Amino acid sequence: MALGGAILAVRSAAASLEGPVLAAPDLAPTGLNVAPQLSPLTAPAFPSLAPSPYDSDESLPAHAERVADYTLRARLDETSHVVHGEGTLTFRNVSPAPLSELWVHLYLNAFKNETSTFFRDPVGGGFRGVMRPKEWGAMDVRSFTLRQGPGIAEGSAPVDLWGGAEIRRPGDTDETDVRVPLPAQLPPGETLTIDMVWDAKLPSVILRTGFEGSFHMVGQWFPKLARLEPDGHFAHFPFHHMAEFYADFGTYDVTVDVPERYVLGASGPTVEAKVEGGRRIERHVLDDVHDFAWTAWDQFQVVRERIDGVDVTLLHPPGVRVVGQRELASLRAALPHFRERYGRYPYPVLTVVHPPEVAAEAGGMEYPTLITTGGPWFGPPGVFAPELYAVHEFGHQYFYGLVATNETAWPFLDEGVNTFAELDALGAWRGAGSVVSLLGLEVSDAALHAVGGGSAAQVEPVAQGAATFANGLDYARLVYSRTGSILETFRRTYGDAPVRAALGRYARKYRFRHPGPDELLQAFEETLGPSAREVLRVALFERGWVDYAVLGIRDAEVSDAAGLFDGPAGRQKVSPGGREGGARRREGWALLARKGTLRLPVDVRLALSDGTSRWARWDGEGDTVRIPYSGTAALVGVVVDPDEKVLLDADRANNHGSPSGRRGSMARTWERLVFWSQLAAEATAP
Amino acid sequence: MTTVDALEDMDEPASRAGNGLALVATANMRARRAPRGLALTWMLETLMALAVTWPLAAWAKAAYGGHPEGDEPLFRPGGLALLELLDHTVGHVKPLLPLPVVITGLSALAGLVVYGILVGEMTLVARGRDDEGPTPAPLSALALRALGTFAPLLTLLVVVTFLQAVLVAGGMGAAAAVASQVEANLGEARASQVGGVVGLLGMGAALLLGLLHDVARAEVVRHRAGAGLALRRAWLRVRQAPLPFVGSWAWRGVAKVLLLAIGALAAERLGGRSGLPLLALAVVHQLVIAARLALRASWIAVTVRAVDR
Repeated sequence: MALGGAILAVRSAAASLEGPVLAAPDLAPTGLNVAPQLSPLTAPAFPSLAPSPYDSDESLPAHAERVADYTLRARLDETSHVVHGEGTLTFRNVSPAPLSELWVHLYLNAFKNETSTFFRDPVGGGFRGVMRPKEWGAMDVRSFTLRQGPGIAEGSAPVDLWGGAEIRRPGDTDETDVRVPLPAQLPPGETLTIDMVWDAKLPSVILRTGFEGSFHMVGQWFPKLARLEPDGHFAHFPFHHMAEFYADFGTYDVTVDVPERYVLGASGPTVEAKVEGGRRIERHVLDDVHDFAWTAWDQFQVVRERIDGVDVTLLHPPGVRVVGQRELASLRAALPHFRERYGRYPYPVLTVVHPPEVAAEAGGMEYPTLITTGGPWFGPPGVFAPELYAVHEFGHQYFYGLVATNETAWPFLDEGVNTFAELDALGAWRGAGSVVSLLGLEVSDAALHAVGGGSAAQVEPVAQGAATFANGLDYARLVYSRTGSILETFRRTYGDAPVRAALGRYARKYRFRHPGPDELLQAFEETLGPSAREVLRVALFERGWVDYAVLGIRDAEVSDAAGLFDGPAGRQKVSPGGREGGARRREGWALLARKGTLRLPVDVRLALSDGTSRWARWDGEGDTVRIPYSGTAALVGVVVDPDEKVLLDADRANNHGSPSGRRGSMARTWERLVFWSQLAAEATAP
Repeated sequence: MTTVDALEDMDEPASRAGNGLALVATANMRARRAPRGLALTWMLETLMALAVTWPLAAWAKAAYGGHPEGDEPLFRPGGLALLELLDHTVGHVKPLLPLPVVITGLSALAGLVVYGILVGEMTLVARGRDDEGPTPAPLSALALRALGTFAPLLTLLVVVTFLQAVLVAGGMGAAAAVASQVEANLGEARASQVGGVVGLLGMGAALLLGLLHDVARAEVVRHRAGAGLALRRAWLRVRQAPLPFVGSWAWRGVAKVLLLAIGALAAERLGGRSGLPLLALAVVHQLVIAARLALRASWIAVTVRAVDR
């Protein structure tokens, strides 16, 4: 890469403490000028930021390909907490292969007993849902009949499919992943229609769904067809503890029937609503989605607001109004931000559900056009937890909702990419104090994720299936924080424009589709080049890590060689100590190391005794580099990554150095610590 | 009898001062009479602060002392370097956690002696020679007297601290119980708010017990009372005129909070990164500490005058 005369290219060298010496292409051979300022990395450093059709919303598809349409009716029995469901599934075989079976998720059976895969998973600490529910849940399919499809002659009776269904795998007790053989193969392009009747017994709130008192959060409540992959196989899986969901797009036409006094919130707009026979009945219809959830509670307070052209409904418990307003305020910033970055939000509505604290496990979740937040009714004004919650869950409308990746196989694609989207949005809104801005302390969301994700970076890879993580804490740190930090490091290091272009194009190109990791990598290669793609791949798939360190620094006064010198001006005598009238010179060097497997470009600042700085950039190639210095001021220090661009740096405490004997001032730290400790000491003082 | 010149007119407590010490008039028992006691208190607080923060500061210095700008990254907006340092520090500092606990305990014990010195300096003077007026009581004499009241003061400290903990815990328990009782009618958040009020009552009771403790301590030092007798006498005195006591304590508490706000404002305005602004901020901070100390000492003087009637 070349950025004018200010860039110094690093040549890779055999591992040696000496290291290669930075050389500038147009400098005098006797000295090395390090440019006083570094030009920011801009587009010319990268192959192409030529316009792409995916830079604008004109490229967005109007609708998803409809694969699985559901027309459902749900009636809630508030006493038994059972949702009685009836409905129709219309499924089209959009693959090139004939299908001889279907796979159906019965997610609620994960909470049926302790022999489910969910409870048998050795999750360990650091993740929710580890407690046994006070009341178990289940999904009982009463009827699953093929009304129209392969092997069904017109006018003939529907065929029961459930009798031949394989609810459990041989030797396994889990009942969340059901194989349903078809009486005949469904050819490519053909459609089948299934009528189903079931009862969803809600558990007490666990992992996002269930009931607590009269509060009901109803997610994964119907027999749900597994996603049909392009090659004709179903991406089915038992419900693992740390896994989420994956399904095809379609239309959901759902009628929900609850007791009259309940307030109802559901995916999609309300197209019909009535109160009849002591029941509140609402019909919601939503196109271009792959899931549907709803909530009902007799204590919800309702707030409505139109934000960026979207009708937003906030449902919150009594007494939580102030926090609810904070959530709405964050959405006022988030909706236009996400629209600009990732394309317009295609749905007319958004429902935000703030569950009561007693049902906190129902919080922090996303469904198409419905998100759940959470948290207590109080919160210090300078700690932006409610805002972070709301922005993160809204972001999932894009990464998971519109870009419908396989959350079980590649959780980082939705949680991690969305974490980057969250910290980017919060940073744009609140700046350096995007998580905490209190009593002069400012903490950013990016910093929080950088530190949190770094602690697990070398334990296991980010890019792996949800079920294969060692424990919940690693999952959370790697899938959320590490991924977010990787992408934020790319943005800071390579530039905002190319990273924004990469993700924006990815989000628009794969709207209503189901991309995998390769598509994400490809998007970055298109704007950042193949070497950046390789860095991203290593970071995600190979426990990529980096630690830039200062190994040494040297600075000394030098003088000209003594003796008689003949030159154009005649013979000059140089005494030891330099030419008469000449300025003293100083020379030195800073020796840096790059530990780890990631090769990220990094800025280096040389601090001089006259208060100025000189800058250089190391492209990260090689294990070490020696940066020479020559000038009249003394070299008093070196700082690698002074602007904190490389969030992935495993240890920032070794990013700096000074010549021996020089110590930077810690007076400010002492002053603050002593003051606050003196205040605390008043508790024991006379 | 209001001046120290009329020592022969003073009643029994004056003659009990002994050791060549004499009591000052009640009205003259003021915090401003005790500069050495105030200085000792400040020193104690500062020494404790230094002892507790030293490991953290040393760790920060080890990490950032070699940075050309020193600890500047730790104060940068965003908090990345600070968070990382804390994350790396936690595991190493855990074994040292008993240290601040021990230091706090020792400081509390030392504080009992310093309290005795403070009150002694407010209330006593050294009898002068025939032709000389009274002079400030020698520190050694005050310390000796303070040691004599250490045991009952320690007893009071332990008992009252325990009772305060019970009141706070009880208040929290009552808060939870009340909240669960009313939750069905009011909803979770409002029930929590009602419970919070109940919890605050518990905290308020603990604070009032602290006020009582302060008066009892004055009884111990002024009248050499035992812990039990001091508490009873303190209760009687406060019961006689609760509002003046609470008012006197409360306005000083509010003033101390305002001083904190001033300190925060000063930090915001001055910045205090380095050089002169940092020095100015340090001065402001120490003035805040000193002013809070003075307010506390003036409250102690109130309690001393109250038990002297």
